[in-house]
Amino acid sequence: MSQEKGHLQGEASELDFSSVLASSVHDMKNSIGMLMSSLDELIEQIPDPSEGQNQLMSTVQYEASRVNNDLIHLLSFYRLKKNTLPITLDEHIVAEVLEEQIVYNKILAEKRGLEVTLECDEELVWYFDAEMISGIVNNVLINAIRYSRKKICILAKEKDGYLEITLADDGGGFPESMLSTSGDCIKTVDFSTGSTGLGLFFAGQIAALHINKDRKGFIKLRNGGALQGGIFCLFLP
Amino acid sequence: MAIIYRDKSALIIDDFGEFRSGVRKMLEYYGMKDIQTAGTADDGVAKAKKRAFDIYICDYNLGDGKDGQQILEELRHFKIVKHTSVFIMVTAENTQGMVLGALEYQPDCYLTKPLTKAVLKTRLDRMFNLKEAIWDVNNAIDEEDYEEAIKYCDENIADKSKYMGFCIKTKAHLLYQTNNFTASRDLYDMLLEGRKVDWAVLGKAKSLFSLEDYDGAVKLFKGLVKENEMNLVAFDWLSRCYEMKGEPTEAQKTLELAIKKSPKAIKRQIKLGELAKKNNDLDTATKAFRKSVRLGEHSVYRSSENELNLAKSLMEKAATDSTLAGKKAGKEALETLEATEKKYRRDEKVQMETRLIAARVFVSLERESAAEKQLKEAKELKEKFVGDLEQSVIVNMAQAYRSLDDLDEAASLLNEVSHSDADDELKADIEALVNDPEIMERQAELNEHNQKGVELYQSKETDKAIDCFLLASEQSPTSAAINLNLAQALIKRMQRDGKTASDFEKCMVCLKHLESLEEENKRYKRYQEISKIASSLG
Repeated sequence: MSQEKGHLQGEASELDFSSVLASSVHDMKNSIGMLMSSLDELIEQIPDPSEGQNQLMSTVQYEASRVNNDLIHLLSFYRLKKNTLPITLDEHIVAEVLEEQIVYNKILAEKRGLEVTLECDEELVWYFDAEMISGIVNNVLINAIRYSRKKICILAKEKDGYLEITLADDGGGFPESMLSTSGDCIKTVDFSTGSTGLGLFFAGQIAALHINKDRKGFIKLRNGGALQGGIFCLFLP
Repeated sequence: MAIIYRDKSALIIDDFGEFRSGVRKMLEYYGMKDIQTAGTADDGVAKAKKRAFDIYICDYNLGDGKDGQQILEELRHFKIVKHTSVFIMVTAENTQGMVLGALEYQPDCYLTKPLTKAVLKTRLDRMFNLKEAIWDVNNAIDEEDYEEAIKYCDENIADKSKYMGFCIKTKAHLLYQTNNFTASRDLYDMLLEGRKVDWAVLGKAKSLFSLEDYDGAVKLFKGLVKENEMNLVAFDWLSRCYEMKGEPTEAQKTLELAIKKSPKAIKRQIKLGELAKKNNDLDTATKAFRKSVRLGEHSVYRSSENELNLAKSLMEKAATDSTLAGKKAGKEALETLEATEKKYRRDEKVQMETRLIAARVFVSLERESAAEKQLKEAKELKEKFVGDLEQSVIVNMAQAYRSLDDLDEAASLLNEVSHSDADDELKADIEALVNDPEIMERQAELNEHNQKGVELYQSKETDKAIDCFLLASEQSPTSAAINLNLAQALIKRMQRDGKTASDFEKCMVCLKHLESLEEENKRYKRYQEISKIASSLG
């Protein structure tokens, strides 16, 4: 935190609204981080919670995660605008990165009585920006946890030179308006519907920053599949 | 593979008490008992130096003082953290990792706050699985047996395990580290054929730099900074390329761009100061050195060099700027020097250097007696000094005496200096002194051959005198005194034995050296007389 303050002092001449906002967002993100880990601890310390308590706890957790994701989006947007959102490609073990996001949201999923499964070859490695892709998966996963009934399935495999990460749920599916412009969510950011659109907008932007030779990453939305819910697909070259 | 944590040890470094106890609880939950924590960077480093840990969890933002990266640098630099252990850097936001990602010293992974018990565990599992799979490689690196480490990398690569990519990366890095630049370049090239990855581009560019293909390196570094303007390491290298290509102004400009983005990096500030000094941009140099002093306080790079560099550039400013700004610079220089003397009380070399700089500042401020006092103290220290004195200190001393017009001392000190292992900057300083006409004269007067020649000439042994003057002129070919003496002696011989082509030619060479002599010079009259006689001989 102190570093961030120093940063502002150092460039006082460039102090503008968006910098102040970014700095505040950064601060809020720290607080929400503390809040979320304290909450995790608190939940563990409550012996045999009642159904009602469970409900409340998962609501608090879900909303906290949403705020955290929103703040991350704001920061990303700030960087995207200032052109300081670079992609750091490196080789990662796909299963490990996805597993981490499932673990990250484990308590939330359990509280809602959801089963999250992962299908991915343990040996599959791919080049991508792990932090960025984790952010996308986390965002989509939290959203899916909110809207599914019993099951969420994450699947990753190599297909035609792309890494394809699919996240399918058994919820009500994406609204028709979103499906029609899939992969180009920029036009569908509708602030009245909450952060979902914004999250997908960033997912598309970040996917597109993944470039290999002449191919770009992209996202696709569908409904249906084995679980008969929403399906989010991320393709990385 | 299930990792057993019961017997593992950990060190947690974070300025946040709640974070420390939070992480400690998580580790205890995994079964760990041997856990230590540190609330400041210094405490963390001290604890790390005492004993080895299996796990280091270090926050990047540690408030004032050192940051996590500086801790990592220090611990890796002194080989305190083993490559077989796990070092996790915790950052407040996920983009910090990207900014830091190109630095030389890397943690095993970056984790973004908030940390949860389950996430930390999966990440640690991941790291230990990797560490165990390639234990041979890391152990060989820890033992500094890089050939062996490369061999183990090759074995892992041949096995085509999921850690193959990691081993190729490590191998390329090791090849570069062991100066196998052609091999590292080729390996990076091979990687880049498959996919353009920043670290491979960086590795290739660094290899090209070491192979002295500066144009090729510039192209790659430029591409890296264009794609990611926070890739400061690429800026640093780009600047080095320009320097090697003999474009110091461009080098400075490039470094200034990087500093604007990250003003906290001390090494870069020092480098900028040095470059700006070379480019005669004293204001930039002063600013950079001033920052390096402030940043150095908490860093491994804390060194009297920073203070002395600052004082020197302020001194130069005072010497070359007669306005109020120059006076102010002089004042700041003296304050800096006073603080430095106190701070490094026991370091005799520092004590000498501060006095030498102070003497020259006092000369600029027209306080000669204060200058003389400083110089006298420095001289006393020099006589007491045990061990070899660096060339640069002797040159500084000669410069100080020169600024006080004490030519004897300056000239005799210059006799102690050799050009052999001087760097470019020192060489330039020596050249400036050696070519100083007044010092040159005094050196001639101190020249033994010249003195002996004068004695022989006076006792009418002209032939022997000429031999002495010839030896003297070999040592100081441009000295007015020696050239005049030699010319005069040659004329004497020609008057005695008659003109010879060889003597006459030598005489003309001497006079040619004196052509630029100005009328005010005390030797001008003598020069005129001698050249008159010489032309009458012709």
